Amino acid sequence: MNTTTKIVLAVLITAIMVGSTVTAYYEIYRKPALTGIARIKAKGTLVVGLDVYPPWASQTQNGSWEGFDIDVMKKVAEKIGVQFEGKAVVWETIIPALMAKDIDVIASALSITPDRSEQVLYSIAYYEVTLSFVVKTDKVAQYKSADDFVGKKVGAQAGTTGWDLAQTLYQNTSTEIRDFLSIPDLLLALDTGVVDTGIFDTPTARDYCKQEPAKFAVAFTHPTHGYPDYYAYAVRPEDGELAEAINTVIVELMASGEMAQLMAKWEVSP
Amino acid sequence: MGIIESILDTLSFFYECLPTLLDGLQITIISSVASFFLGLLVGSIVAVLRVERIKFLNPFLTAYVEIVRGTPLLVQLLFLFYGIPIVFGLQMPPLAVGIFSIGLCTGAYQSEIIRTGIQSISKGQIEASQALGMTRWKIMQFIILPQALRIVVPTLINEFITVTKDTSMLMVVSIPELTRRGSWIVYRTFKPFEVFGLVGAMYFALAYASSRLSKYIEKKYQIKGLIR
Amino acid sequence: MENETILKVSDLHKRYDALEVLKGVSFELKKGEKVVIMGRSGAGKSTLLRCINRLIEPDAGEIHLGDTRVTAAETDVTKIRRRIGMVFQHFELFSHLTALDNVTIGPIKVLNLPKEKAVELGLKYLDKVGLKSKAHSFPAELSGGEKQRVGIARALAMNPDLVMFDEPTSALDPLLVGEVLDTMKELAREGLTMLIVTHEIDFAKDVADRIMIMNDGEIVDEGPPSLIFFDPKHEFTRKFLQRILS
Repeated sequence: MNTTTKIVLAVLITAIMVGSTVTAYYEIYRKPALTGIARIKAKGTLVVGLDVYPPWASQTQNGSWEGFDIDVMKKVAEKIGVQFEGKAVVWETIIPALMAKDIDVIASALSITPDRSEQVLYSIAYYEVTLSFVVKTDKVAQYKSADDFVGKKVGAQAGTTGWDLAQTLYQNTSTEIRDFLSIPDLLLALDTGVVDTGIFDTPTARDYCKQEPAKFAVAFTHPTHGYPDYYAYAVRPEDGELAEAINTVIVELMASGEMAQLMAKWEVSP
Repeated sequence: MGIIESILDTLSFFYECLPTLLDGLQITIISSVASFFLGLLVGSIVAVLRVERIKFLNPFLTAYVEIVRGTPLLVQLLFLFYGIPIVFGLQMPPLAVGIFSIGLCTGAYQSEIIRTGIQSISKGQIEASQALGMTRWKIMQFIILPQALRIVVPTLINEFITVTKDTSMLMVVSIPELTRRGSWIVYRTFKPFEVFGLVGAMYFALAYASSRLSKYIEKKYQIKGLIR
Repeated sequence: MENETILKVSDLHKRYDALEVLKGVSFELKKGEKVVIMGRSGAGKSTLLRCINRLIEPDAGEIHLGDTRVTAAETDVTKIRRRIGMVFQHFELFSHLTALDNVTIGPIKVLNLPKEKAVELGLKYLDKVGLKSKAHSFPAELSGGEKQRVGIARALAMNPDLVMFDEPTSALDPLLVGEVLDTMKELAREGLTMLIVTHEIDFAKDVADRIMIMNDGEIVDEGPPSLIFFDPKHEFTRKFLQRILS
C-alpha cells in the first residue's frame, strides 16, 4: 500500500470518526435556549414545511402558498398567536429539516407510516386517503386493476406511499418501476409515454386530472397498504405542546363543520 | 450515547446502506464508461474533421461543439429525454438516452481536447510523413492521431472523472444511479448527513481509482521521453 | 545508358505576399550526381527543396522528375514524393514508433509492401546506417546523430530516385556531426543521387560534384568544388566563403 493510498484511507477514516462524533455531540450536548411553543411564540412565526402537492399545498404565481393544509396551518398559527410562514422543502429532506429546526411543522399530505413515526410526533389524523393509478385519458378503459400493468412501466415518486405500493406490487416482476423527482415530472413522463401509469395520492391525482381532463384520468384507486392510510401533521417529538395545539384546531374544525367546508372548498370531500 | 458507540453505529449503518448504494454505483460506472467512450469516438471524429477543415461540414461541427459547451448538461439531458420520443416516435430505455446525451456532451469537450492535441503536433511531423508520400488521411490515422491521443491522455482522464460526476444528473430522467439511491435511503432513514457523506465518499473512491488507472495507462502508452 | 537527368528545375518562382523567395531558379541533377547548395539563411534553399516535392507549391516554373512533370496540376503529388527521399534538419522521426517502425511505415503504408518484406528491408537499411542494434528503440532513446541516421534509413527504404538533405547536421552536437557525414559519404560513394543543403565545407569539398551558391532567391554561383572554393568567380562567393571559413 503506497503512501498516497495510506493518506487517503487515513483521511476517510478520520472523516467518518469526526462525522459520527459531531452527530453524537449534537445529540448529547445541544442546548436550545427555548423549546416548543415558547420558542415559536418568541420567534413570532410558525414555519410550515411544504412540498408542492395540490390541492393540499401549491404555490401561486407570486410565490405565496395556498391549499387545504395551508388553510388549516393558518388557523393553527392564529391559535398560537403567531404568523404563518410557508417554506418550500425538498420532500426527501423534509424530516431532517424538521429535526434541524429549519421548519416547525410538516404539512402537505404527509401520510402516517411506521418509519416516520419513529422520528416525528404526529398530530391526530385528519384525512383518510387511498392511492390512484393515473393513466392517459384515451387509455382509461384498458386498465381496471393493478394486474393490468404486468410487463408495463409504472411511475412513482420515491419516498412516497405510492412508491412503496409500486414496490409491494411490482418489485421483481416484469413490470418496470420508474422513479421521478416530483409529481409534475411523473405526469410529464406519463404524457410522453415514458411510463404507462403514475401512482400517487387520490386527492392530488383527482386535482391534476381535473386540470387536464383531456390528458389524464384516474383509472382506479387502490388502498395504500393493508390498513387505512391517514394524513396527519408532524412536529418534533419534544414539541408536544405544538402537537396539542394542532390537535385542538383539528377537533374544533371537525366539530364546527368547518372541516367539511374546507374539504368541499378544495374538492377533497371523501 | 458514547462516541465509540456512535462511530460503531454509523459504521453498521453504512454497512446496511451498501447493497442499495452498490446497485447505484454499478449504474454510475456503466453509464460513465459508456458515455465517455461514446464521447471519445464522437470527439475524435469531430476533432479530425474540424482540423481537416472540410468546407461544408465545418459550420455544423462548430455549432455542435459551441452549443453543447454553452448549455447546461441538465438541459441537454431533459431536451433529449423528452424530445426524442416526440420527434422520432422512439421509446428508448432511459439509460440509453442518458448515455447518448452525456456521450454527446463529453464528445464536444473531448473534441476540443483532442483538437488541441492534434494541433500541437509539429509541422515537421506532417512534412516528414508527406515526404514519404502518405496521403492526408493516412497521415492523420498513423502519424498525427496516435501521437495526439497519447499527449492528451491526462486531460482525457480528467474529463472522465467529470463525466462520472455528471452521471448523477441522470436521476432526473428516472435512472436510479448512485446519488438517487442515496436519496431513497434518506427517505426511509432520515439521515442525509451520513448517507450523502457515504455517497460522496463512493464518488471520490471512483475518481481516485480512475486517476490511478490513468497513471497506469499513461505510463504504458506514453511516448518515451516526449517533451511537451 | 549515359547519365540520365533525374531532376530538372526550370525558372522556379515562389513569393509570400510581398516577399519573393525564389526568383527564377534553374538547375539539373543527373543520376548519381551529388549537388551541394550553400548560402545564407533566408536565401531560399529550404523553400527550393520543398518546392521540388511540392510540400510548398511554386508559383511559376517547371520541375521534372525523370519524365514526369512534377508541377503539372493533374500530377498525383504522393506518387512524386515516393520517388524523392527527404532528410530533415530536425530529424522529424515519428516519436510514437520505434526506429524500425519509422523506417518501415513508408514501405508498408505507402508502397503496400507486406510486413515481413518491409521489416527485412528496414533492418537492411538500419544496418547500412549502422543502427541495426537500435531497431526497437524509440526516438527519445536515441542520440541526435542516431536519430538522423534513422531518418536517412527511412528515406532510403522507399528506394527513391534521389534523396534531398535539408541541413542534416545543423541541429547536431558537433561531436555527433561526424557519424552522419560519414554515413552520407558512404552513400555518395555507392552512387546515390543527392541534393544537399549544408554549411559543412569540408564535406562539400569531399563529396560534391557541383556546388551551387544561393543568395536572395537566386543561384549566384555554380561549379565544381575546385572552382568554387579555390577560385571563386563572384565577389559574393568570395565574401560568403570568407565568412564561413572564419
